[in-house]
Amino acid sequence: MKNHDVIVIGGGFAGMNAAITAKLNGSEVVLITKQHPLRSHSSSSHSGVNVALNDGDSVEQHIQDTVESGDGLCDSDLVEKLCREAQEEVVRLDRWGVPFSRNESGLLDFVRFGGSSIARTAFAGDAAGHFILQVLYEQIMRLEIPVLQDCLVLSLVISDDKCRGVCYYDIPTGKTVIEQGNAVILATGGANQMFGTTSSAFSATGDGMAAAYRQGVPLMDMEFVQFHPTSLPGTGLVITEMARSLGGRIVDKNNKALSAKSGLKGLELMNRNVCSQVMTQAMTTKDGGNTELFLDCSGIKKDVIKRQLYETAAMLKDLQGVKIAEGLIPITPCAHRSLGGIKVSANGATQIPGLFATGGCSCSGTHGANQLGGNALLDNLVYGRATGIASSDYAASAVAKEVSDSFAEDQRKSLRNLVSRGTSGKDSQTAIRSDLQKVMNDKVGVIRHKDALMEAQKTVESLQDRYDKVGLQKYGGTFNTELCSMVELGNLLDIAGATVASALARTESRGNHYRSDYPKRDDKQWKKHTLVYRENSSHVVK
Amino acid sequence: MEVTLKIFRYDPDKETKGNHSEYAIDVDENATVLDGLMEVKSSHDSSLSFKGSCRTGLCGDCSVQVNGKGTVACRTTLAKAVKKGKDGVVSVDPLYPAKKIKDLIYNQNDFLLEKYKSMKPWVVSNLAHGAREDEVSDSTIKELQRVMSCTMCGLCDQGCLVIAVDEQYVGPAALNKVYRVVMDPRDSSKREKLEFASGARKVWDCTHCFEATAHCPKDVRPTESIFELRDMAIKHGIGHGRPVNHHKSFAASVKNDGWLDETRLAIETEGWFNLPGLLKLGPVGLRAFMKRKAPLPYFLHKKRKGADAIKRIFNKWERES
Repeated sequence: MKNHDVIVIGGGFAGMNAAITAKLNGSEVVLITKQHPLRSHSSSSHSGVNVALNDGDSVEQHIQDTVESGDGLCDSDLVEKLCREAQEEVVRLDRWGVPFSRNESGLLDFVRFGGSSIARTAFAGDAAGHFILQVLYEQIMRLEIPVLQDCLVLSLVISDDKCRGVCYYDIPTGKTVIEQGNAVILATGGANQMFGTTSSAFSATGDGMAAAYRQGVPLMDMEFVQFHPTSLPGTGLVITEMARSLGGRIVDKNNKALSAKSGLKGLELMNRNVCSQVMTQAMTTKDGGNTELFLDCSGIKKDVIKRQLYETAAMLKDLQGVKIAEGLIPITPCAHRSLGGIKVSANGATQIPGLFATGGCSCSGTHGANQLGGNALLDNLVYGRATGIASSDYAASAVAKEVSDSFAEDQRKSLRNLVSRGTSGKDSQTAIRSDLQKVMNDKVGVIRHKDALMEAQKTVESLQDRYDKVGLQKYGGTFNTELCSMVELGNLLDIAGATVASALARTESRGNHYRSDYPKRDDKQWKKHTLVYRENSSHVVK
Repeated sequence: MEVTLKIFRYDPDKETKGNHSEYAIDVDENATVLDGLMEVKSSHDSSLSFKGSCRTGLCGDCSVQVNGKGTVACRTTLAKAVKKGKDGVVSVDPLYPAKKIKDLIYNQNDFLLEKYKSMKPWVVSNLAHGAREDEVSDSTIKELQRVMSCTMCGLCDQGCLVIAVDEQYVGPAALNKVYRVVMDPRDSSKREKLEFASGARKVWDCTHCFEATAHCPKDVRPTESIFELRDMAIKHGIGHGRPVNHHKSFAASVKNDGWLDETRLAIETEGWFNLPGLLKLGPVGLRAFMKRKAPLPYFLHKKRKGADAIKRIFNKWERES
């Protein structure tokens, strides 16, 4: 069996940047993805990248804003690296052809995103994600990095306490196979498909997180889920922060600004966690019912919309039949980014030698309890690169060892077992998924409480029991997407369990984790990260 | 809202042809075709296979045919589709039925992997010089953003009339990606890319039918990208022979006479001194003459009324570009 130097799993920003870096560092690299890289969730990022290049800005100010946004939990060394290397990363992307919008001098233009003290986010219209993804894929092609697409990760191959490869389900053929390598980088993104209302793509099912978690790697800070304040109700499709940066106001049905009602001037550009929490409180009536909130973009000029909000405007026109600058657009917070993930060090290493993680599936503590708008993409670039170099260096000194096909055979058996359970019962995987998304929305959302979290924990456990009883129509075959959904649901249940357990454990309010029963930040007890371990079938927080 | 979807079902592990099945679903007023497919998978048959990812029109994954027309499922509402469906039923088929793999999944490899990569569509730039970004005007960036909005959904290639008769033609999607690179002022590989794009079954094979632009769900206008590539190739002195002769003669004829001189176009396309080529035109010319399509001698072709105005437009355009 061929032994790769570096195997990268995931074709979003972080995965592709890590793959490119490892290749340029001299490693032989293969990129394994669940879908073609251009179809990754990263494509739907409307925002941009933070870099302190604007007049009057400084790296120190960027660091300060990032630390303040993280609400006391940021690792200062990691923040420093993030902000200091931003310029190199953004200029590299620009030279590779990302069409970042320009000012009158032909240099990068910036907008101010939530939590930043100055306009610092380099943007490309309102489709930076799509453009950056395209440019990174161009470099993947240029460097002749082979891409194995339509591969669903099932498990990591751990032998002699080292990660030596990955076992995946090849979706087009239905075969369960092993790819062997000296180093494996997980860059599989978040797991926000566990929520009913999310901005995440269908692919965000926590496949990499679950694979590492089952191997005893702890997940860190899973309680911190960032909710984006402005998404279309019921869909989770995001109206970018750019709209608020350019003058969009959050209002009630009488067009009264929420900032005035709540007494928080400039609410629209406060940190996302603050904005989402104030909105959720305002949307809950005294009798426990709901009231609507809206985004009013009527103050944004047409030429500005054409330059900086054209994708959003087109989406609203196509899907809601409304013009962005006319009338009120209904909005609600949605699950946007998992800040928690596989615990990694500064260079992406996990506790298992040979296993690395980067991007949305990982957590190093850089962003603490809340991520500054525009820092997510930057994280993928800076730490995707650091992980690429570290994995490449590790692979160069590692000694390859042939792995047995028994790893794949175990997975085949477990998938065949799903078929042997039969499909005669009334329950189904789609019903379980729908119930999971509902309970996560209702009980583990923006505002949390012990009682609701206990209820969620109980429900997730019962959903796991139900999951263990439902079956599949068949194993293998061509594009058996029913089987893929089943595997993904198993991953989501694991990650949901870890998230609820972590949220229950942190008895304080900080950043994106707001507990109505513990509404204050408690530095004495909780100025620390949570780590959740999977022990047997339980989620144990330490 | 209650809707019936008529979906193409095909399992290559069981059958060779496939057939359509109808599913009644109840969805929100603003639901998209992609939402509808998810609902069918959830409430009727979890084995239904289709592609879809970002749900917001930026990843290009969910391209299908809705009521016989190519579109992206996440940006097409069922409410609109119902109005155009036969008897209120919305039909959903693979974008390329001939390339079907499973249900609505079809083989995207030719345009998404092979033809795309074959054009070497990446910017080559000097990463070493300076610590700051290159100066580029925002208007150039805006144009780049429009051209780069292509999501590789495949709709333009599906509509292309040349690919319909020659599958080896590289197609509008890949050509647009080359244009994206050569129009980028940060790229230093323009000439090499233009030379490559001018090779066989590439930029000169387009027949100007504008189907690519008409099929594009974004405002990418791939047909215009192909025209721009041709102009750039000519300006760089790249490309020769019939396609370039044809291009130049066409423009000269319209510029000078206000309309197309077909005889002159045919002769100049072959070249005045290309005797074998001109001889090949003989039978065609004779048939055209018999049908009164080829006035001879060619100078009988008269200027059209208003030709001077057209010439002024040409001159202005040439000065400004």
